[in-house]
Amino acid sequence: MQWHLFSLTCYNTIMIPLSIFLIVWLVFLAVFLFISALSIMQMLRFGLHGPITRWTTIIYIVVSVGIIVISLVLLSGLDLNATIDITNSLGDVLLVN
Amino acid sequence: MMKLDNLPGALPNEKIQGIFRRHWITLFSLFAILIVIIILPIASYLFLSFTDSSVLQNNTSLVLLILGGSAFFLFVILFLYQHFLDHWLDIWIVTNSRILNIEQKGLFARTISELRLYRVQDVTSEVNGFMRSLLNFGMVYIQTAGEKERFTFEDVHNPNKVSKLILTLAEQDRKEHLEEAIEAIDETSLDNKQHIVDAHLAPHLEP
Repeated sequence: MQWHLFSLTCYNTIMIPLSIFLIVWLVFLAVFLFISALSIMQMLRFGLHGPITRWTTIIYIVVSVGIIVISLVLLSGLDLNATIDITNSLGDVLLVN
Repeated sequence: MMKLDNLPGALPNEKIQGIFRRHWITLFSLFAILIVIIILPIASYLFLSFTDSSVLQNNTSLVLLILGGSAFFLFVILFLYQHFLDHWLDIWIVTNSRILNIEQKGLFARTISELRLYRVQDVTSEVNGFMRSLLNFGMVYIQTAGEKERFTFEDVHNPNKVSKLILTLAEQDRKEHLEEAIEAIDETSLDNKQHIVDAHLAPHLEP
């Protein structure tokens, strides 16, 4: 896999691989998991012992895992090695001939 | 998890008389806004699928849509959980000898304050506004001896009943701690006397 962040061709087109967006998403996911772990820890430490504390935490974990799994399943069927040509949509803004 | 039979700094023969939280409607208002925010991207997706199906068949736009969509929904559910955590961990516990105010501020700040019932001098309940009157929730202010700041129960259900409960329990506790209660009242009256003296002397002392 070639990791070119920006490849500027002689035709003045900027191509970004889609995997860059996946890396950004994975960074976001790491931050999400870190904050979630802290929140769950606080809830289980200081929440009153009872079903609501337990069930809200379980629902939160199940929904979060569900979103992540569904996203990964959907992404697995797509080509992440493809590139996106941002000059097509942003050419007027980014490049001045 | 915090167990009610193991309160922080529990006293001997202490029994819980009431546990109070903010009214659920204070939580619901933000949830309602978030439900609208959740519906927006779903509505946009449905709109795109009916009008411009080429966007949803393109590999690039699908990848961006899935990544953006999942990040959005993860952020929303995290925000909801944080908000619920903030609501759920704010709690007022009234026992037969004290009031515990446990307040969660954000994720890392937590304040636990305690008030002995025999020090309670005055309890005020306030129901202010249309929604508060309709659903019968509001503020309970507790004035203590020797302290200028008031102890406040925010947006609790049935504040009149709560204030009556605190007054009754304070009366009972004062009988049990008669000497301490008299000392507390004396401290307050000394403070008040000092304030009166200061107020009278201050204008004369100015150059």
